[in-house]
Amino acid sequence: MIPVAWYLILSGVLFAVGLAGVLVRRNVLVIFMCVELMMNAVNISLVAFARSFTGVRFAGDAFVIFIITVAAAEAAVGLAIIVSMARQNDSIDADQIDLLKD
Amino acid sequence: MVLEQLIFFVLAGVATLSSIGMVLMKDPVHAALLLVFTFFNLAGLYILLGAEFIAALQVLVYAGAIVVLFLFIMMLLQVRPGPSLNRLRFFQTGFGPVLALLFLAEVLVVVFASGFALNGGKGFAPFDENNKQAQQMAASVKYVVETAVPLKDASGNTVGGSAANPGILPGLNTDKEPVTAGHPALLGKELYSTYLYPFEIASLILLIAAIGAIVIARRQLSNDNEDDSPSKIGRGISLAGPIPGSPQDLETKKEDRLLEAAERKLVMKK
Amino acid sequence: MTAKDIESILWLVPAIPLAAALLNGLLGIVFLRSKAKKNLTPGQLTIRYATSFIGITAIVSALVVSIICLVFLIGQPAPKEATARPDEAKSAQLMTTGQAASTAKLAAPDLQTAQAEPENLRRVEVKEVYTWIASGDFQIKVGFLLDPLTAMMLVVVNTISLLVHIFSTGYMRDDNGFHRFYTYLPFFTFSMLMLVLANNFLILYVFWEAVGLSSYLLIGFWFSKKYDWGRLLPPAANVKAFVVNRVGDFGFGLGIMWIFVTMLGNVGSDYAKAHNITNGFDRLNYANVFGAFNEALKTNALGQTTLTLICLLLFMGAMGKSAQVPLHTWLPDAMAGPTPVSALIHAATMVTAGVYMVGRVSPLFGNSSSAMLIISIIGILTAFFGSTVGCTQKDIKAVMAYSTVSQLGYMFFALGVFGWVAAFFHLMTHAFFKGLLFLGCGSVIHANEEAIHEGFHEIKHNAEAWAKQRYPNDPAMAEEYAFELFEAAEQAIEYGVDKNSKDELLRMGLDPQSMDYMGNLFKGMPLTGFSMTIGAAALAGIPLTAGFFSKDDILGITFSRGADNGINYVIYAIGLFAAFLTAFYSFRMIFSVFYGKDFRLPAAMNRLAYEGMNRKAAELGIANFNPREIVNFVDGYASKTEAASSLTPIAVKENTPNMSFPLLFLAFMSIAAGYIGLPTAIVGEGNNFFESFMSSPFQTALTVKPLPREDAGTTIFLLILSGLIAIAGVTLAFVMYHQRRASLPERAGQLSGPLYAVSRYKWFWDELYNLIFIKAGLAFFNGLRLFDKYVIDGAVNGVGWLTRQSAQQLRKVQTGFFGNYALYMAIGLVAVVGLFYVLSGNKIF
Repeated sequence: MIPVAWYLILSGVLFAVGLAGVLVRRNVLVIFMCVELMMNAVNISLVAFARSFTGVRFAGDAFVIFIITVAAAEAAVGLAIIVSMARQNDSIDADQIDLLKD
Repeated sequence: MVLEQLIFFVLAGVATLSSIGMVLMKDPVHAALLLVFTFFNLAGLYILLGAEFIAALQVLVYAGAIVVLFLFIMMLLQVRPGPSLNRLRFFQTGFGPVLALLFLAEVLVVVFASGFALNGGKGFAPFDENNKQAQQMAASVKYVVETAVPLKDASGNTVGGSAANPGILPGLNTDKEPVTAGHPALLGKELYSTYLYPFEIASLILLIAAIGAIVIARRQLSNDNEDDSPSKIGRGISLAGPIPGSPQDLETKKEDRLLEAAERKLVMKK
Repeated sequence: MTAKDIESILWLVPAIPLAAALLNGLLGIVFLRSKAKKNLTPGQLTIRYATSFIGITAIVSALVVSIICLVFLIGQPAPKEATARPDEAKSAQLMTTGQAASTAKLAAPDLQTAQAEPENLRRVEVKEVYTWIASGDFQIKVGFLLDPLTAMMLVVVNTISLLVHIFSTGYMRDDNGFHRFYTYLPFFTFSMLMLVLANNFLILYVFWEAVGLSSYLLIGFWFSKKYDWGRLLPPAANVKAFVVNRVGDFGFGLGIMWIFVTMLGNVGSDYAKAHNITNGFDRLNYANVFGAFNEALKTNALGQTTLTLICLLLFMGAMGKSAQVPLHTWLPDAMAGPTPVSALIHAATMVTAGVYMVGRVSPLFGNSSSAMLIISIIGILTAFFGSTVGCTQKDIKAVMAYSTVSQLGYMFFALGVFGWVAAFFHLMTHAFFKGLLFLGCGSVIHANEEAIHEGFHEIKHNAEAWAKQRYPNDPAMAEEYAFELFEAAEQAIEYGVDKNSKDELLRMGLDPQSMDYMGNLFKGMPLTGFSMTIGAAALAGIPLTAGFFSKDDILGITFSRGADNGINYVIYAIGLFAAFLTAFYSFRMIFSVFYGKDFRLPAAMNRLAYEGMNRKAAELGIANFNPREIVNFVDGYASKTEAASSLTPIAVKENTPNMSFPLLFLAFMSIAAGYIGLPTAIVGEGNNFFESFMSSPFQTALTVKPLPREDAGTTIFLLILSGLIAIAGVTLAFVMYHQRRASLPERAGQLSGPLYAVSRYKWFWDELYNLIFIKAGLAFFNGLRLFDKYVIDGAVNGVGWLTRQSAQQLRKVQTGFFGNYALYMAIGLVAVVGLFYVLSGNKIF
């Protein structure tokens, strides 16, 4: 019997780690991986909630499936962007690309 | 139930550590491998939660597809470390973990202050007779099973189901097999009924993402962005410039010159 | 001829002048524009003259219709209460004072039926000529009301307007805006006719403003004039007239609104219910307003204070239009318009509108004795003010202008002492003799200008001859010098030579309107001189002229009212003194313009021409220059005998018949008009034709306060007294200006000291207004400007500065590195989660 709070704390920890990774790392690919980690952290909490609240039925599971779908789509597009970015700037270093300024 | 908790601690601890490792690894390939490891641990946790289908998805999609994609990209692109142009880099590196810890603290506060406190919620386990939540969950599953529309084959006979509830789920005999919340059959039923529209939209998103990825990653035509690059358009619509000759004007002009120089440098680099 | 016929032709009176104005305007726009006369083709010249013909024809037609209306009204029997018997009046007075409530209750219905029953045959009302605005139940109708007051005004306005039209064919002969003039004149006439004909306060107000607009157009007729000998220039003068009138019209508008509000309230609603008036705007009809107000006054539904305030607000409008102190300042400056326009404004249209309005609203004014007291005080003040200022003005038109102000003052204090008929009698006679005097002034000025122009030709001709003789070998140089000298002389005569000179002549140039440079004109223009002398006699109140009878009527009634209120004796005394001054200044003008020993124009021209030519000669370096070799003007009449070859006689000539005919006609009227209103006390009850005819519009007011009846002896005594006063004034003027003995005027001026300055500078009204409104206003608005510049603009610019500065700082946030944006997002995430948790009110642990 595992209290739901454990899952939530785990989720929070993983999310925080992902967040720190996004901020600390310079490699765009690693940053992207950290984003995936943050999503997984959220997925855990969703499933844990789904198991503790009966009224919502399969909402948690369904959400997780959609998130995984979106994550897959995101990975496809995001990696495409990274490829194109690397082709243009010859770098995938987050600290050398300031295109958002324009 | 100690075993169950023990398994949770092992899985959660390994996941946490490997994720931290992922963040700390210099080599992105190592990071990706640690990420796969984390995902495997998380899949174990899903099984522990009774969500076997999602656990399978986790392994297949995340570990199997996405991370492999990452590795492919890493193979394609070589990372050349260069000087950081980001003036906030120091702040980001120093303050990022602090922010993450702050966020974690907030989550802990919320969890502890809410009804999910460690000793208050009494935990959660599927099919625990003494657990009211679990009983409610079982009732909910039962509700789904009972209200499902019977399926019939071509000759009009109900397909599958139990004696009490004939032909609910194809290929599933509810009398023989226990029906859990994570059962793919139930989940699929739900996805194709309650979440039909989101499901369709998700498929559309996948299609768009596939096309988008092709369009973005395709090698661009040589003089595509010569004339109306966003940067030029952006500067073109500045309506209210400073008064000509004023200090602000001179400053902007100076900045403009710098920008132009930077742009020229970029073009030359290409 | 029945009332129906009159109803069917009445609309022609204003419609024909309007049609003429529109037609002329159209002709002018299509064919003429503002080309100079000499650039016109023969066809255009024909159209140019056609405009005047159209204007004159229109006014003749309108006049004929007006006379038909007047004759029709005269043919109708007088209404019973036209002249209220004293006993009836007494009971009415009792009722209004409300001394005996029971009697009032008994008598009131009787009186009401008595008033309602006998139909007033001297009154034709066309309820709806056309509907101006129709939107369901909301209807504003234009209606006409014809009663003796209107008919008299129609005839007077049309007569004066016709004569002005005829006179202008001569006066405006060479003006480029001839057709424009003949567009504005009929329009002005139309506006005034509509004002007089209106049966409704709203239409009255509309055309009250239309008259203001027309006067604006006409006063500013010569809008391109650059120099007017120190007077206000037309574009400024018309704005001044408009603005000063706005002040009065503000009150007038408020008064009408108050009436409307009252009529929409209980007072009007009860009346409307009783008389079955459904349309809201019909409540503004005169008959309904007066009926409702009178009933409300009887039942005390309407307070005396409200009535007085309404009357005073209305009177404010009259003060503006009729140039009463302190809103008179526009009128003297309205002289900037062409002189025939001044004649029209002063004699018939515009300024009489105020008097007419007070007369028209007599049922309200008559019930408010406090308002009437204020009117009489303002009136006598104006009369006194105008007559004192008139004594010292040099500009012939200014004398006339202040004379008008003064005479309007007479009319108003006549109204103020409930002398309704006397006021309108004076309005009529004044229209004739003031129209005459103004047209005469125009004639004199025109002749003067012609003489000056003739002088210019002489100078040019002589200068050329002189130069040819002096420089026989160099024709080009001679021509140039001749031209330069002529131009210098012309400039000097027109604009003066030295702007800082103390001598007015050298400073301002030769003003053709200044009486300083006239004199002995009778010899040149006998017709003008003769008719203007008659006009001045009428203005002065010389016995047996029209002005004598009408002015005495006013003074007589004021004297009789002394029995009611002692202040009227004071008014009478001041009025008498003003009459003395009037006689003095009118004949001062006559003597210094038409009589006297010398014609002072040639000498003035000589002086200016010599001064100008001398200066030019010095500039050009002509040695031994003697301007007398070029030109030496002398009086063309006085010095015929000594006329030598070197002298150039200069003289004014009588104008063409189209300009002298109106003068003669008006001169006749200035005498004859008085005999339709001989004093009742002398000729007997009912034989005063004007009074018995004109009484019916004032029926209600006369019931409240009937005309006093003096015995014949007192009346004759008063007549003789005012006659003597007038003659005394004339004698003084004769001694001072005809004989010019030992420079009496100058000595009188010195003796009176500050009084002279007060009169010469028009009691310093303009200076006072300048100080109060212009200087203080400018200071105030300058303050506002500074406030705007530093506070408002400062705030606006400050916001801009702040935005710019903060943007300068904030743009640094936009680094373009997405890691930074992630950082900001993370900060935001932590902050928002924390904030929500704090806001949720949960305890942290």
